[in-house]
Amino acid sequence: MKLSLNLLRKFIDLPSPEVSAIRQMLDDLGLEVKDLEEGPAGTVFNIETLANRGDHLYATGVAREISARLLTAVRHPALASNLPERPVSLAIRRNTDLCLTYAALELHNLNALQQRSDLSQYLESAGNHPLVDLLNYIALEIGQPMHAFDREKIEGDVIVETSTRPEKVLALDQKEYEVPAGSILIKDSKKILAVAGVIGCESSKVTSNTTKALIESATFDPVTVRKTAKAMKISTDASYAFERGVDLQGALAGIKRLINLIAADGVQVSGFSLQQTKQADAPVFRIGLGKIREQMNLLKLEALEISARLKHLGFSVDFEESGKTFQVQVPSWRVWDIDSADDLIEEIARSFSFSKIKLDLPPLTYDLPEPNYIERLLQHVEPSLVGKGFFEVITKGFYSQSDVNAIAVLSKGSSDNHLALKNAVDSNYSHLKISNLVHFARLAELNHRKGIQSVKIFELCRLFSKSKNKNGPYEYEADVLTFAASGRWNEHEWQKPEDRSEMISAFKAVVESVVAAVGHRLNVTPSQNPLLHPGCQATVLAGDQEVGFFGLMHPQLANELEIKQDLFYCELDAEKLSRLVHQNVFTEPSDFPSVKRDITVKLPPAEYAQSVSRFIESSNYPNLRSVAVFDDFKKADEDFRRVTYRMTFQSDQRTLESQEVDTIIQTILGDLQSKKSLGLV
Amino acid sequence: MDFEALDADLSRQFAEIRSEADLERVNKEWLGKEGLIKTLFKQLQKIDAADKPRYAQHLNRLKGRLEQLISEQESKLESSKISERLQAEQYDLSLPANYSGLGSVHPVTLIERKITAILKPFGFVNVMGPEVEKEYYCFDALNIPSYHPARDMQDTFYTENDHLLRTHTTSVQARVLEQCSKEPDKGLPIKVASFGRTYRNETEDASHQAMFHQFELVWIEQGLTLSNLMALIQHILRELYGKSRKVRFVPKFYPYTEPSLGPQIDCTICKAKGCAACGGAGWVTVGGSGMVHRKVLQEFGYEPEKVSGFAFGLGTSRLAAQMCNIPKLKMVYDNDLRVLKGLV
Repeated sequence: MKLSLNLLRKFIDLPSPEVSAIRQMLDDLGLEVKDLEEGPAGTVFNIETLANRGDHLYATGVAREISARLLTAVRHPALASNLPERPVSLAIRRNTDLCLTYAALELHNLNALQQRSDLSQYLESAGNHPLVDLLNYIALEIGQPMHAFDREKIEGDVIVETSTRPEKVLALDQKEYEVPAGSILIKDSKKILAVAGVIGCESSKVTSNTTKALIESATFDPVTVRKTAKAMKISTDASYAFERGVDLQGALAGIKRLINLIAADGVQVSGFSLQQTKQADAPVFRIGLGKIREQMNLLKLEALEISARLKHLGFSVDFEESGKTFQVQVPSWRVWDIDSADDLIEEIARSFSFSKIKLDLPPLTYDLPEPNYIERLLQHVEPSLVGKGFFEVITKGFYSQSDVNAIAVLSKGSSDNHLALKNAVDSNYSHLKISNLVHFARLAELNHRKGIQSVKIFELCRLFSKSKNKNGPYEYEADVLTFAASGRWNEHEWQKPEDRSEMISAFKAVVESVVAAVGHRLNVTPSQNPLLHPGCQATVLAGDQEVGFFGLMHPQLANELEIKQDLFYCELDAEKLSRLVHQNVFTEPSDFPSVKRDITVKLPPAEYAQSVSRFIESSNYPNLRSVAVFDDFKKADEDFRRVTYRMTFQSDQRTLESQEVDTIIQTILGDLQSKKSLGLV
Repeated sequence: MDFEALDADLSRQFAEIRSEADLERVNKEWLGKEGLIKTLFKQLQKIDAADKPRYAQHLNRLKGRLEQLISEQESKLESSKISERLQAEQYDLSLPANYSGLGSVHPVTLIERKITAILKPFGFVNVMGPEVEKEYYCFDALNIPSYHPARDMQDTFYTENDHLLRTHTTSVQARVLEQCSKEPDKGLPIKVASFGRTYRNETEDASHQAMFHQFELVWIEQGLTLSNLMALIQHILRELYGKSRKVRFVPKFYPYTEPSLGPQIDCTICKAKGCAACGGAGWVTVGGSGMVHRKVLQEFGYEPEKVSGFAFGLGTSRLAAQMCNIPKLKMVYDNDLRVLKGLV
């Protein structure tokens, strides 16, 4: 709201001539001044009002807030003491209680109305018909929106009713709107005159030729006005005020103020009609002095002072000395936002100033809480990733339709699993992501273009799906730890760029260190993720628990997304991985010598070398401590690989004899032939 | 035997030694199995008894001298070898290492950690909640009626399965209250903090993003006051922004708190005097707070006459931008590694 300082001064004495001091006071009262400007009427405050405070939208409302702070009186504008006894020259039929009050004033000889530049100078947009400027000024002064119809353009009665079907109107801003069903409409026998509380129609507006006018001063249901205005995609001063709730007695006050202002001009006030729903008494709340003092930690706060401030805000206050309790009745302009005694605490604290409240820090507890599963996981894995040069990034949770399509090329049926957003303003955000691969690939590509050669990134984020997640804590989403590498491993150009197999090895080392960080050894098995290169991907197992996958981005997907460089990607189930976190315990190392033996087996090209070592490890051969791949070699003319495994044997009790180790080796070789059908070299 | 001639020969041979191979040859020639010393010792038994002592004396002295010379020569060769190596081996340690550099966590995470560290001593537990949320937890349970602007289609992303993307982390508060209300003593005291992504369905620009991060705390217990809330917020803000910063509170409106307050800190640039950066106000709003609305407490079966609570939230993305001097909110989410690497 734009409020002239000089207009404000008409209604209240301000303590300081300093604009900055007044600004500070307004801020402190919840009337936050966003900026200042100089207008024809002097300094103007641009105030950001609170969404629930219709009474902050006009000058006397602001003055009232100041009066409660300074405990000085507001000078209210003069109102006419008498209303015409004759009714208006047409019938007013109020057919809906969503119009709480409908007052109509008929004016003749409108030509006599003078332009009041002394008043219109305070308006943000003046220069309309003198009557319209006057009504806008009254709204700025006392907060009652009013509307003027050209009386001679109204045919038949005025009907106030709720619409049952959508209507089209040409509003007085010359634009056509569709008004939703359920709106309050002001009509005559043939047409719509106005969309109640929002905007009048072109067909009935006053012009320079208008000599007779019908003034509407009404109270409309805030929620209905808001729904209508939102549907029409319009916000007018009137709708803004009605949505926040106007003074229940303001309709009459508006009429009286208008009569007062035009009294000297020779305009004829020829009729007045009023229709209203009987209002319930304004609510009354009880609140104890002790509670107010306790909440503000001001134990000597006087009841007298509290009463005075509330009365300046317009509340009726009765203090019961015996029970030290206030009985407070809400004024007619605050029935919309005051609905409990808690609101009164805010009224009191605000009028005192929050800065007067004595702060009381709650005590510390030294019972430190347990970390949640994400915190626990990151405590373990983050050092591995950061230590290896990975940067945490934050990507958005959205996909565009073209992303969904690109994924569907490789992952048949995946489109059905994307959760779509019904109303995204930005078409790039039409779906929620099911993988972080696309985001990472784009992010890497973007950084490569900016000259970053080594992109190593990680993110703990949510992935979404349309089908319900049966295992995790959330219905349609799951926490995943994702990380990726693209381009060179190291940023500097000192050494030659890593080739693909070196990158695979370096990336796998990161996967290995992440799994090791939660206390497990990495095992891998072949996987079939459609978005990854079929020959370069694996399932990640922490020990024997499957927790995710890693591999090289599928070249076809890279093509679809115009990604130039290889991207290595890993995706791990964060909740599962966190559950697997454990601290390995001490085991005493053996002092007896170890014995090493190598065996070489023939392995099909597509078979994972680790399948053999895992088989050997899981067979519980005596004193076998470890099995490790020692060499992987393929002759050009052979259709198999020669994979050598080095086995380490050691006992905790004694030195092993060479012969007994040889016997175990023979058993292992036999098992590999008979149980795994592997040839030996 | 002419020991003097042998001595002279020995000296000559050692003077000619230039390498370990030379030494090895001389060593073998004199001290080897077939070497001269062994031969001379064998001849000892053929020497006349009268000459034997003198002969043996000369021989032992020769052997002793020989061993000493070998030892000296070995040291000399070793020393010369080290010198040669030192001369040959020169490394430029200023050349780049095979080092991939350290990574880092995101500025938003840093802020979240910082806030967590401030809150833990008060006993706050970090909890999480779904981002695809039910309308009830995001709005209805929080006293945001169906006609509230926050529920307008243009502000909230609605999913095809009639859920929505949470517009604030306050939805976690609703879930926590619901869960705790089923526990003995209604789970009191409740002290939780929630961090996470939130969504607004709006056109993006430099300072508005469709996804951003928020933090929110809620504390429910008997006897909590407005004064407690303000003191805690002042403590948090001074820990975050610096102990000398000024903190003030202005009235605000949030449907789920009553009274509602907007904590503000003095503008870093003008020190609360008013400048272009703070719109002349001298103060910058850093979040929202208030006493938990009685309707929210009642929604989950808590009696507002017996227990009270407060909540405080702020945008961690904006805070991260401020703390790291990142000029625009958008840049917090650009994931430009040149920026992130610069923050390590």
